[in-house]
Amino acid sequence: MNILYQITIFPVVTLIEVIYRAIESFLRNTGFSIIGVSLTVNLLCLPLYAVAERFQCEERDAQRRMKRGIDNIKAVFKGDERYMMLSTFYRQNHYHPAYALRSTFGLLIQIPFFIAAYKVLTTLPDLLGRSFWFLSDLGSPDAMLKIAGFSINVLPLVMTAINVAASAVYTKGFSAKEKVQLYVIAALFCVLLYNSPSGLVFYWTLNNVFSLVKNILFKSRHAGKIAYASLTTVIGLAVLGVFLRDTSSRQRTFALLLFSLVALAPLIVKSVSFALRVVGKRLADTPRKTTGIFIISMIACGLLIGLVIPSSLIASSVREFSYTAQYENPLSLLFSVFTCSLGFFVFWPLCVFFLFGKKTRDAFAIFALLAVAIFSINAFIFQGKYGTLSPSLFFDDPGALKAAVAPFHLDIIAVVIAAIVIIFLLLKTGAKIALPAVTLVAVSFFVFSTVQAHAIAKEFSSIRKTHESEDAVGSKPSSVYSFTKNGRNVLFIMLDRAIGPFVGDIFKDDPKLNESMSGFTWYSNTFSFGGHTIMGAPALFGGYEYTPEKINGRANETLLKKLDESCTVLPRLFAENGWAVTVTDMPYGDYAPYKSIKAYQLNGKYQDDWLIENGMGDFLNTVKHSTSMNRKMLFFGFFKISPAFLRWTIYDMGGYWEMDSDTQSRYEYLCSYAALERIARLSRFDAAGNSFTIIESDVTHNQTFLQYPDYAFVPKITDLGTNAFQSSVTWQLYHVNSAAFHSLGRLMEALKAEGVYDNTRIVIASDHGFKNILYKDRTRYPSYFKDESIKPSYFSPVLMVKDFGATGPLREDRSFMSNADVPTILSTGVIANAVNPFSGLALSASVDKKKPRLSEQHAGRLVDHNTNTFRIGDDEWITVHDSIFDESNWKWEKAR
Amino acid sequence: MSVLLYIDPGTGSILFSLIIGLVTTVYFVAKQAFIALKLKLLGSSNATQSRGSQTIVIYSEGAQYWTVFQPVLDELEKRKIKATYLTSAENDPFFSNSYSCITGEFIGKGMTAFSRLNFLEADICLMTTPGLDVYQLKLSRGVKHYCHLLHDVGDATCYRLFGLDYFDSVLLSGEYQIAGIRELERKRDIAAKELVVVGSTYLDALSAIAVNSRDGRSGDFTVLVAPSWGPSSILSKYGSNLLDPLVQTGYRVIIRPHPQSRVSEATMLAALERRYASYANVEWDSSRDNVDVLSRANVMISDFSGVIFDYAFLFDRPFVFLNQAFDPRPYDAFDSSEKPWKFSAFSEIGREITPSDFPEIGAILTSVAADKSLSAARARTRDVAWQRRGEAGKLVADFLVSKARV
Repeated sequence: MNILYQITIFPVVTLIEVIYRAIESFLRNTGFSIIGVSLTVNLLCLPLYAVAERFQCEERDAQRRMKRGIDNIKAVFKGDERYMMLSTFYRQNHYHPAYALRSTFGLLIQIPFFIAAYKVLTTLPDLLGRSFWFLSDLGSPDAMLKIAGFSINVLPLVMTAINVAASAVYTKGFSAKEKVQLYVIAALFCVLLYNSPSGLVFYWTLNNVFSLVKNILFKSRHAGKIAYASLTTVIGLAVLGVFLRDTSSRQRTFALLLFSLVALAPLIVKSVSFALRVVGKRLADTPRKTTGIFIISMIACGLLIGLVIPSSLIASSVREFSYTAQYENPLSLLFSVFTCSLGFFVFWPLCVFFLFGKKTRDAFAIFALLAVAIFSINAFIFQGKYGTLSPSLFFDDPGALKAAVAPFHLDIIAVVIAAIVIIFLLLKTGAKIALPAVTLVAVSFFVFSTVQAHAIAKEFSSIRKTHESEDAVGSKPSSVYSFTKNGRNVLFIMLDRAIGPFVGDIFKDDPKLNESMSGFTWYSNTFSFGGHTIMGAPALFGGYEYTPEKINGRANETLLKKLDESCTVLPRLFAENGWAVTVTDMPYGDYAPYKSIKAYQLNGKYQDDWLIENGMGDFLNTVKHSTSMNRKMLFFGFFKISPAFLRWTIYDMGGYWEMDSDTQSRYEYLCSYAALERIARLSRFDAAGNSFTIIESDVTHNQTFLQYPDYAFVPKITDLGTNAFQSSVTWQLYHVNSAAFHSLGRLMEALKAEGVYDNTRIVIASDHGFKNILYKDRTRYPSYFKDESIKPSYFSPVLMVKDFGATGPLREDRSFMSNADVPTILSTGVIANAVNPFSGLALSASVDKKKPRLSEQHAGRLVDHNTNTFRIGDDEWITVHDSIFDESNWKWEKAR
Repeated sequence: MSVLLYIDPGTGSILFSLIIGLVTTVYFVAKQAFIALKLKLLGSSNATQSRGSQTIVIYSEGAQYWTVFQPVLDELEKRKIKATYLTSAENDPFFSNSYSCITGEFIGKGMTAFSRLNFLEADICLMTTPGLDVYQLKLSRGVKHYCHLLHDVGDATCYRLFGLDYFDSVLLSGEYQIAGIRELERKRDIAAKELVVVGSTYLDALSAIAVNSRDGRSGDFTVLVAPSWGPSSILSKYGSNLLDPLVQTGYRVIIRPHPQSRVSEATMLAALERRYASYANVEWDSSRDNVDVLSRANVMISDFSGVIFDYAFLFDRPFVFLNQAFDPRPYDAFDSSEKPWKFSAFSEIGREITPSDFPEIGAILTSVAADKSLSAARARTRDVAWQRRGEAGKLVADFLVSKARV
């Protein structure tokens, strides 16, 4: 059932959603957007309706032509003989009883569109509470007439009246049987839609108006001319309206473009069809091969977008796509994406293809062939570099995407050249070379995907093993952390990508944090050595011996070994000094050899419980049944196959044109958030000896919006607060950073309540910042920096320290620090002569903050680097000294 | 865990080009091998095919068609041309003849026969069975040419619907039959058939016999009732209304139902047989050949059956007919713009009666029997309907040979 939906309805739903979103983003009005959707969908379907009309005409003609013969045979012959006579008669009339089904096509074609429109418009969050014209709430039935306490929905009745009128025009001169059919359907729609949201009824009413106009036009001899004239006039008036109103130049350009497209439509259609006739001439003699080219081309497109691209994406990090809310096995996700893609590229195109006559089919085949070439060129040659991608397919630097254009527009040039080559090929050889060539591409796509899928399956089976064993060894442990009341606790909370400059704002926004998180000192003048975990975290966990420069200095050992080592320095140091050590969700580190170190993975284990405990089971349900991920994957495929200049639009700020785009990313946020919220409940406060704990959290890494002012997670956000930033990504990061501190505030309260606050040294720090933290207020750090190549916020992590017994509100300290100071801060005074257990060097030994070398390289994955060293170019080192706030202190080592 | 959050959507381009290369190679090698294999296979299979097929096949639906095929078989035997005779009659007279070039085989009746014929291999297949590819008898892919031989000198449009549509050729008794067939071809938009006038094999055969037994008439005045079949035929339509007064005359009455009646209208026939069982002057005839019974009749009553022409042309004797009730709807004639020629011919050479004449049927018959005035008209009509007299066997054989690799 699901597969059937994905192949047949899903593409239509997506089409309607995209059209709605596109129009809505332009018009900013729900009602007008519905009108726009209706008009667009109907215009797009017009050729299909024309075909349906032709079928119906043919069927009527055939029936009329054959009536005498059929009546005669039915009157004279009986039983088998009648059947045999009829089938011979049909054969001689080039008719098949199944053709009668074709005439119901006009009705049939409306079904997927109806289901899709129903699905989109009943779930559209925009409809609720929005009024339009005479409709007070598009999200509920209109209830316009109130008689004696009963409310009557008027719009469905209006809709039915128009429907009946349209049917009456259409069936003029038809048999009674046909007339009755249409009226019954009109009545059916009335019943079906009577209690639907008025937005949906409004949409269907518009469709009926369109159908009425269309039917009147079809009965006229100059249908095409009238339609052209009226459409041009309507759009012309609309464009005039756009210009008279206070509109942006982008909107005006779009309006003009639309108008010229419509006004020149006949010319465009004529010239395109002339060009296609010329190219199609060679194909005309081999209709079967033309069909072959079309089908195989579409299969190739389906494979490329539904298997090749998603399988390489999944294969690049199988773990991220395993055991997600919807799919345990990433292959299920892959299969689901593939079926959606089949709907888009095989099912619907084929349906449309076979509706049309030979000439149009030739054109389709040419376009399909061009599509394969263009899609492949964009997907494989012009991949583009847009930074890294999160599992919910957000690029962490979407700005790069906006600016992204292939050098010299090479992508467009390549596409044009490919098109010329293909057209030349078709002109010279027809289907002779094209068919085997496209078959070859399709087979290659299939083989490639199979290889990828095999790799995914293999990796998943090993993931499953660890997953199951994790499950077995207390999958959701009830006691993880321990604190002592008698001795000393050292707690280090690492917030991945928490933004240093935000700390002051967050405490200003909610001064109560000064009370709950009392005694903290905020080191605002702190830098990190890298902009990503892979280069920022080692120094944070291991100290100055693990800066990118130092790690590359030990070129004989593998990078992974050094990363693991950096994360083991502190746990080993404390454990070997007799402390109880617990670490959770560490990015690297192999703790198996150290029995005294307790290591856990808690991320992703408590979010479902959290949702249920907080009365949000519905949201959980939505997540589990969401098609968001396969849809996103599919759109990611569209993203990859499109030219660079379109990718920003398709990316759609990571929403990929979905109505409800953020359910998935919000759920991912919860995976981390629920684990952070759980800390107090997972703690014992009766440890006998000293206790050392490192907690890593990704709460600050998952950008999403939360409910202002508490930054709480709620199913439907109604208040976002005010935006102080230049981009909404930054605004979202501010939200999650705030949420993290609110959660930590609650944790501190809990520690206080248990009497373990004063004897606990707490460090909150992050491994790195974020590239583009830009305030609207240009006087704020780092928005006043002139040289855009320097992105100081990339290297601006959080560093906050509360020492034993410290009290008072947040204190800002502007000492020049780096987050590599953390190991020293943590061990000072509690461990005498703290040395790195691996190197034997004192933790503070090699501190050199005069001219630290920071790496600007932003490849975030291990595989992007050399086996033993980070791959950092000479022009990717930057230095800073004394104050990160002064632009003149930042210097590229090698001029860019 | 944060490191795993970084996914680069890189696509394995290198692996991809490797696979393209591999697949290309495999594709071309496989295609070459396939072409080579195909050439080999096709070369040898053609040879086996030509050995196995039977070039001339004649199919007889029943023993009653023996006279239709016999002249053809005799001619082929004379020319020493090999042919296969397949029959659905176990007691086919073929088996009591000794042909050296013609091999005969009983292939069963109905579906048993059709299932064999539907997979027949032949250069040409000759038959009298209409409705090819309409009823259960389908066109066999192995037969290059289907040829229909008319077993009646009436119009070729009097078969049930689509009777001749899927034959490649029709062998006619007279040129007048061409127009009707061509009209149907045009109207039905079907391929034009090869039409050759060959005369009538069975009339040739019967006239040879009729010459020997030209007068089988005895002293009793004998009336032959020889109808067609179907709802408009006189037995179905009038039955006892006609037969009662006829039997009352005391004349010898021979009723010879159409062979298809025994199949399609058995109940109606049985009822009539019971009704006249006690009458000594009533005789039911179902002999294979009609020539004996025709020769015994002083006068014939019929409707629109082809037997009228047999009687008129072979014995030049008078007949009465009633065919006002003729319903063209089940027949190919339904699609023709004109009424079949034979109806006007009947009026010219016979005496039409209506049901109101039944009470005086005895008197009418005796006066018609004595009337010699239509003899010249009968001869004229015969020249139209039955051409190339005496040559049919030879002409059919010529046609078969022209289509076969012998």
